[in-house]
Amino acid sequence: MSQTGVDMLSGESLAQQFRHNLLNIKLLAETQPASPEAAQILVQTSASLKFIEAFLLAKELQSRQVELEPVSISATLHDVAHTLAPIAKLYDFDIDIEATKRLRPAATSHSVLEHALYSIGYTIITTGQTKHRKLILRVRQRADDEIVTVGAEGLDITQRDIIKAKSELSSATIKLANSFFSSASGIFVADELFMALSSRLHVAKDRRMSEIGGKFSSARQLNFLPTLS
Amino acid sequence: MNIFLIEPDQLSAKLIARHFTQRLDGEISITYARDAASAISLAAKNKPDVVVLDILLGEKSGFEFLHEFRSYDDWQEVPIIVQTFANEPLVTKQNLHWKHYKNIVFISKNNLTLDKLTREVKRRTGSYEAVS
Repeated sequence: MSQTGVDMLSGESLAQQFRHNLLNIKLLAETQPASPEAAQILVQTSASLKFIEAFLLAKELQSRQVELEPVSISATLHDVAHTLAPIAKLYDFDIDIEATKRLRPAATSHSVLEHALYSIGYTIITTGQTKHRKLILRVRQRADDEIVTVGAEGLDITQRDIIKAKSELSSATIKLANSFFSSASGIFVADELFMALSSRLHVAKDRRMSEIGGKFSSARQLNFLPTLS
Repeated sequence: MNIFLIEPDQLSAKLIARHFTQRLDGEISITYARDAASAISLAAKNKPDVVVLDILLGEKSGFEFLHEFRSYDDWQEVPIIVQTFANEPLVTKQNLHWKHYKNIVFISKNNLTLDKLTREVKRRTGSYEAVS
């Protein structure tokens, strides 16, 4: 069977095309007289551009290795909170950061991890899956690892949902129209980015809260990795 | 002030040019190129005080323009503002000449606003922003 033009269109090329249009809408909104609507368009287009950037980074990292570096996870969480703040305000969400003290730097990439956590947060905020309007960015130490997650109360998602949705997507036999994932592509973007960081996206239930994230080794492990020349 | 704007998206270019004209004081002249092919001859004709450049252009890339532009003695110090969707770490890593360029600044289009770009032009050229 021959490939059609539509088959050859990749999500990547569509994303690259749409971000130009989004940028123009954003720039045009900036030139409009101040109004709540113009301000909302500015926030939405900025947040969408950031999300497209995360998607394209995930695609790019399918063919490029990430250089791991010592990263302060709590500093990364503050950056993510700062970037998410305008869209959180638009959707009436609060953002809390929970970080235990004296965390050691973790072996990851600040930029890639920031995009992954942003994608999860953006998805939780914009898909309206929870009535508890508080996003929690959390990092805690467990043995030699740091567990970093984005979560919210009342978020109905489990590890099984992710595994099932990934399997359905890869076999492409079932439409995901009625599932959480039909509007939650950010989880898949984050999943890809976590893989690029040699971590694995995991969902955990902690009391009423669902958390999505992964674990990273201490940066001390970087000493044991072979150096690429 | 002569601003040379090299931008593949015509609507973006119009919005940027209009904002510069409205927000920068003094006589503003904007030369526009959609790609890098004719950019050097346009620069020679209009003698830019600042270049605003997207490096993701058509057949001839913004890097080629940048390299050629900087190779001429009288354009060594002209400020260049690179505003692009390209990834900054990759751009600076893959372009061997990047670290030798003087007076060059990078703005990601993912975070671009017209005010940010105008402020950067002002900062690089020492001009003043008009009070709106």
